[in-house]
Amino acid sequence: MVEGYYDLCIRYLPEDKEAMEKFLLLAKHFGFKGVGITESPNKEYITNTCLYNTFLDIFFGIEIDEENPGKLYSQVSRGSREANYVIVKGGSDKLNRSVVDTPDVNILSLPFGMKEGGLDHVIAKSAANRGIALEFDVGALIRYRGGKRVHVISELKQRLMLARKFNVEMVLTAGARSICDMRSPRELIALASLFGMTKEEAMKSLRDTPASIIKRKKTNEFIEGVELIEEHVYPEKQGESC
Amino acid sequence: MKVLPPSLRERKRYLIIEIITEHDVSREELIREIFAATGSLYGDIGSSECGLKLLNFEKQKGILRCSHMMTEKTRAALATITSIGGQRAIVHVLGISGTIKGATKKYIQCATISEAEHINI
Repeated sequence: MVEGYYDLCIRYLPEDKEAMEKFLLLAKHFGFKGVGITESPNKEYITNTCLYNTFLDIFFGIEIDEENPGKLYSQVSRGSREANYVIVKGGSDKLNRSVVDTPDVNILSLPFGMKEGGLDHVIAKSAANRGIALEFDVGALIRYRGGKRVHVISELKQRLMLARKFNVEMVLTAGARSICDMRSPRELIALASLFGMTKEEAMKSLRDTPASIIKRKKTNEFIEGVELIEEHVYPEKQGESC
Repeated sequence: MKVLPPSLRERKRYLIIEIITEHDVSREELIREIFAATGSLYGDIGSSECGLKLLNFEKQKGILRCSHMMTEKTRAALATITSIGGQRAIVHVLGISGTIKGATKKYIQCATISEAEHINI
């Protein structure tokens, strides 16, 4: 099977260099190409723990949990400058609508078991238009047992139906909160099949979508002192114009 | 009872599993946890369809037999295991084989040579 899996929603930041090393070794052992940590570390931490690492790509995202739409806007724009990608935690209907209208949001993460809220067709449609990916957190299937898991599976099934209908991008993740919550890509695919996701969809949401989220961000960035003067014209197009 | 000829036997697959924990776990604890996980995910009927049996288990690596149609389901059930014998654990499937011989040759023997690769958390 082709390599190149990413897990972008790891909500765990290893405390020191040793923990980081263990974490990276485990991720490598599982066959990930890159991991994305959604806890915001300071610069000192990054230089101390991540520089020596060459075998795995590490990305730092930011997860925003903000009820107020006005504050959300400013937090997202600040977060998108600092981090590789931005995840916003949804909730009520009003909040979700303002999230999908905010620019620079990459991933929308919705909690389970909300009475007023969750994914509906309006949010699915505008998320698809703006290229916002929807997080499918199979960590809930691992953590819960019994009744709660039953509800989680049916909710994920509902979200999958809407995502398929409106072509919303999907991101499959283990939603790890500690090193013990990590799962390998093949296991994530198997867990996704529990709520009806096909193998192809699961592989796309582990490989192509996360890769495009990271790439999207990278292409917008320039090193200090460099600026884009004009768009590059490809040779074959030049030939046509002559 | 006579052993059934190979053509009449149920088809099987062998999952090579690896347990990632801080301290080693025993075979009994692992079996109890596997059946608890499949039982809670698929119920009694579903887990009987999986036809699980843990064959050999040593040095935190083992071979788990299951029905050939249920490999993905078994994988999913194994992924829902969070703790074994009271300590946090991850069950990682290294590979799937059609024969015990293949499974041992490909995964278990290679693993004993490069034992340093085994990860403890």
